[in-house]
Order: sequence, then C-alpha cells, then structure tokens
Amino acid sequence: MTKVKARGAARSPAASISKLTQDLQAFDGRTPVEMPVDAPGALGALARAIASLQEQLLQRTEALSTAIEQHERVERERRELSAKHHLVALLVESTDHSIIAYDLNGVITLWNRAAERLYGFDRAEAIGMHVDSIVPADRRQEFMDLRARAATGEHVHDFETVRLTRDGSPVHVSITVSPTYDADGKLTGFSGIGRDIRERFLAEERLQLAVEAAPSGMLMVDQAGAIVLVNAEVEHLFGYSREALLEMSVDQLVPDDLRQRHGSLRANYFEAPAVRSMGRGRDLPMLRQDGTQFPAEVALNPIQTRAGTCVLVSIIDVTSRRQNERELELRTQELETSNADLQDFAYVASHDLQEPLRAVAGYCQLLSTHYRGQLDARADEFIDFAVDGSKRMKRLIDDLLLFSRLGPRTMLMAVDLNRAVSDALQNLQTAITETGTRVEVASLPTIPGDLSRLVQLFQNLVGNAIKFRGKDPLVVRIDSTPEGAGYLITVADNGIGFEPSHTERIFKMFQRLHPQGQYEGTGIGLALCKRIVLQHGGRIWATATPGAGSTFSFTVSTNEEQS
Amino acid sequence: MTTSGVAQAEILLIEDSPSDIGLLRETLCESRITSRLHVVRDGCDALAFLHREPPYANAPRPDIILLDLNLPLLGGRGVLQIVKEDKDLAQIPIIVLTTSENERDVTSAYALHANCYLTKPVDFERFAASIQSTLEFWLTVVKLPSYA
Repeated sequence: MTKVKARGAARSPAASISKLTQDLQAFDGRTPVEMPVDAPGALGALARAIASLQEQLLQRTEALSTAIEQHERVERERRELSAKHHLVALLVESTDHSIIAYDLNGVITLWNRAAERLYGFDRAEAIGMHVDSIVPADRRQEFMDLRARAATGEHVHDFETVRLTRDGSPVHVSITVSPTYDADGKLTGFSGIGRDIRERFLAEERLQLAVEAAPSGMLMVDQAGAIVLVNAEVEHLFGYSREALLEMSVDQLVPDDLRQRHGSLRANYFEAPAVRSMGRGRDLPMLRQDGTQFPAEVALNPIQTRAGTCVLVSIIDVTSRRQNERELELRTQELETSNADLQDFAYVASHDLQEPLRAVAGYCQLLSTHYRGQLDARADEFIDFAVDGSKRMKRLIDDLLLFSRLGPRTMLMAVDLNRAVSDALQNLQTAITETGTRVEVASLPTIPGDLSRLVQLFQNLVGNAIKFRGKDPLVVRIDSTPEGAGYLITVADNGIGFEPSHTERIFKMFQRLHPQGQYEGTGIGLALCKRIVLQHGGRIWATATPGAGSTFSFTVSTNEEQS
Repeated sequence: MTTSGVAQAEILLIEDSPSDIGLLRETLCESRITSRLHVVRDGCDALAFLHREPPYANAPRPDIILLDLNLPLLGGRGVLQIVKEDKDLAQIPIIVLTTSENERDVTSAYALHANCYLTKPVDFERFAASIQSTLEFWLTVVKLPSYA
C-alpha cells in the first residue's frame, strides 16, 4: 500500500497539522495522500491513523467498483438473453411451420400460432392436452417409434404422416421430431415441427390418378434411368408387375441391341431435357417380359421433382396402328390397281368392242345398200334395226370411253368458272341458236380445278336443259353463292322438269327417264357431271317440278386439299 | 416411177380380222382407184411378202401398205419398225389403220415413222370415205420417189 514518508520533523506542530489538513482536502478517494507517519508524537499517531483509514477506504472503493461492473455485465447479458428469447418467441409465432412441444408424458407444453392454424386447436385448449389428440389411432405406434428414435438423440426429419385436426379430419403433414433437454441435459420431452403438405399431397394424388388413368403407358424415370412411377397400362404393355418395374431400369424395356444406345441417349437427354411430343417416325421397339417386342411411340416430358429432374415417359403401342396403316396402304394400292384395271378394262372393252361392232354395222349397211328391195319388206326392216342398234352401241361405247378417261385426278389449276361457262356455251352455240335458248350467267368465282372437265360439266348441264326444254322459249340461269369453304352453283331452267322421285336415278350411268327415240342420248351426261363434281370435292343434286323446270345444284370447294 | 396415174396400184393390207378385210375389199370396189389388193394375216407373213420369200416369191413391191397395229405374231409396231429401218422398203408409205384412238398408240406409230395414222370408223360410209380419200391422196396426189 502507499508508503507515507515523513517530510520533515523540524516543522512546528501547527504548521504540520495545517499541511496534513491541506493534503487530506485534496484526497480524491483513489490516489493515496502521503502522510507524515514517521512524525514524532501526536502528529505521527494522527498521520498513521489517517493513513490506515485511507487504506481501508481505497480497498472498499475498489471492491465496490468491481461489484458494480459485474452487476452491469449481468444486467447486459440478461437484456441480451431476453432479446434473444423474444426473437425466438417471435420466430416461433410467425413461422408457417407448426411448432409444438410436449413432455415425456405427452402433455403439450408449447403450441404456436401455425399449430393453431394447422390443427384447429387454439393455444389455450392445446396446452395441457395430450399430444395423442392429434394422432390418428392407426398412427400411434408409428408416433411412439418416432419418439423412441428421438429419445436416443436423433432428429427425425421430414417424416410424412397423417395427423388429425380439431374436427377429426386427417391432414397430411411432414414432421420433424427432436428431443428437448433441461439445463442439466436431462431429457424432458420432445418438440415437433410440422409442415402442411396437403396441397402437394393432393397434387401428387391428382398426378398419380391422372397417370394411372391415362390410356397410354406412363412411367417416370430418374436421371439414372431407374423407374420411379408406373401406371397400370405399363404393366399391361410390358407384362411386368408394378413391383418388378419399380426395381428396374428403363433401359431394360428396350431390346438388347438398343440398350446401350438407349442409355447414352438418355444421358444426353438429361443434359438438355425438353418436351418431346409423340410423332411419326419415332417408333421405338419395346421389349416385353416374355421377350416379344412391340413398336411404340414415345413422348418425353421433363418434370422437376424433389429428387431432381425426372422424365415422364408416355408410351403408346402402335402395333395396331401400324397394322392399320399397312392395311390401308395395301388397300389403297389394291384400289389404285383395281382403278387402273378398270380403266384398262373400259378402254380395252370399248376398243375391242369396236371391231365386231364395225363388222355388224358395216355389213348391215352393205346389206342395206346392196340388197334393199331384193328381199322382202320385213328383211329391210330387220336390217334397219340392226344398223340402228349398232349405231346406238357405238354411242354407248364412246360414252363409256369418255367416262373411263375421267378416272385419274389431274392437277388442279385456278379455273375461272366464267371462262368454263363461256367455253361450254361456245361448244353448244349451234344448239343454243337453233332452239332460241337464252342463257343468263351471274358472275362466277375462280376455283381450283380442271378447266376441260368443268367446261364439260357446264356443257352437259346446259345441253341437258336444251334437250329437255319445254314449249316456252328456254331460259337457263347460272348462279353462284358462297357456301362454307366454297360455292354453291346452280343451273336452273324452265324446261319439262322431271318427277322428284327420279332425283337419284338421273345421276346413274346409262339411266334414262324417257323411251328411246324421244330424246337422244345414252344417259351418261349426268353421270359424268356427278363424277366431275366429286373430283372437285363437291356434290351434285337436282330439284325439279314436272312441267315447270329443273334446277341442278352443285358445290365446289375452294380448298384444294378437299378436292 | 411415180405412183400417180399408175394403171394398177399394188396395195398390201396387213390385217387379221376377216370382217375388216371384207369391208376394205368393198371399199376398194367402190373406189375410183384401180388396184390389186394383197392380204397377209400376220406380221411374219407381211415381212415374207415384202422380202419376196416363199410362198411370196413372185409378190410385187407394194405401192402402199395398210397396216393394222393389232396383229398376231410380230405386231404392227414390229412390222413398222422393221420396214422403216430397211433402206429398200422405207420409202413405201405405210398407213396405220387401227381401231385405237389411244394417244400413246398414235405417238408411238409416228415415232416409228408411220406415214399416217387412221382410226377405222364404225360407220361403213365414213370408213369407206376415209380409206378412199387417204388412198387417193397417197396414190394420186403426192409425189413419191421412183425406185429402180
């Protein structure tokens, strides 16, 4: 401690006391003041007593300031802890995760706001309640197992299970169970953090249902090629059970010779996963459990899952479709062949018929020329019938030829129907002039078609009107109105018309409504019209009133694809 | 020599149909042209006639040939090709006389150097008229090279 030295013993006692007093007055409680402890007599005794007092004072002061510092530190720590505690409480209250705690007996001790929302019990109800109130009976054992695991110090993370809400309805949750300890490290109970996964569960359930009900085979494959989900159709397609499929790699579903390549294709796919839709020319052979194969069309859809990128594969067995396509192709070929055969037949038949016909006609004419009048009258009549018959036969054959030549579809060009009509009228000029027919033509559209056939169409229709004109001067009216993806064209006349019951019959080949001799013709004209209209993607029909006229209507498509 | 004004035209008809042969005979009877009609029934006989092989050793060189395309054995096209490739025979006019109106038949006949292509009308009057005018054209109107 402070060593107080005598300054001078030679001073007078009064002066010494005065100096001592002065020094003491300057004492600040921290810095010791020198005392003349060695002074003789009363002064020395006084100085020693004061020095001792001063010493004690200094010691107390120091102890006091230490105590104050400690107090302040404790106070600070307490405030910090309180702030932390407040923060934790805030967090617990504000999180979307339900947080509950319960003691070893299962009595709930903590219940946050999210728990109130999730389970429907408010805090006042929940605290003191047994935790089994939110655990379904069939999950109690599972819950006990979870607590047993947590009791060993394990944190059980994201365990998906079912809990009950206040009204007893189940709710899908993902829970984390952790042990709680007291200050001494003694197990006091457990905390449970829960997350509502109803939405995800419903989404998954919906996906599962959709996948399951899909008419095509659907399987989900992870990046390693492992099958993680299949539907019933996949079991059906491949003959494996669902359990077996879930143990397999998708590569096992393709034939041996493709397997390795399939693996690398899959790896490439996952580097840049993209939607790949079903399409033609992407048939992939598939391998069934029994070793047989089938052609399949495959679509790929990348899906982000918690386990990373997966791909949803849709598989359609196209065996029957391919078979149908082959059959269709075959049938088309057959039809084309048969069509070509028919044309050949029509051509050859008409051609080869000409020679015997020429013989009959020629020799009958020679008979008639050289021997008329030399036999009896009946013989002359017979010869006339034979000549007449052969001429009709000739016309039939020519018409048949004309019809057969309409067979193949020619290239469609833009045809101005106004031009087709004017060409047709030009060809009919003589007949039109001779009969005094008036033809009124509205403005007609331009359509994709074959000009010469359309000329023939109008020529046949107007020619038909002229042929079947009535007593009044003939007026033929050609009109056009837009209809659907094309036009409706009408050719109307004021001729003799026909019985409505004949509307179907008149378009058939060689069908005539009138006896021979009354009207010229073989009955091929309207059959040709029908064929030409069909070739232009339209249809033709007729309406008529006997004695008042007929209207022939046909549609033409402006869409080349339909023609 | 020229054929125009010839006293008697030698006509070779290569045709297998008896009725068509008969009609042609009638046609020639009614014609103003004086002619002798030689008929062979198939392509092989036609070549034998033209090459004066037995039994046609004494056959005349025809002034004109009427050829049906539809023939047994060597077809009409075969005859046409062989005759037109033969330097001695190529100058004889060949009238293709057939039932076919097929565009392909017409084109191929001219490609093989047929001199003209006629379809046989069914009507006898028209048949006779077209044959007669064609024969008159080739035998009396046009000037053809003479041959030694």
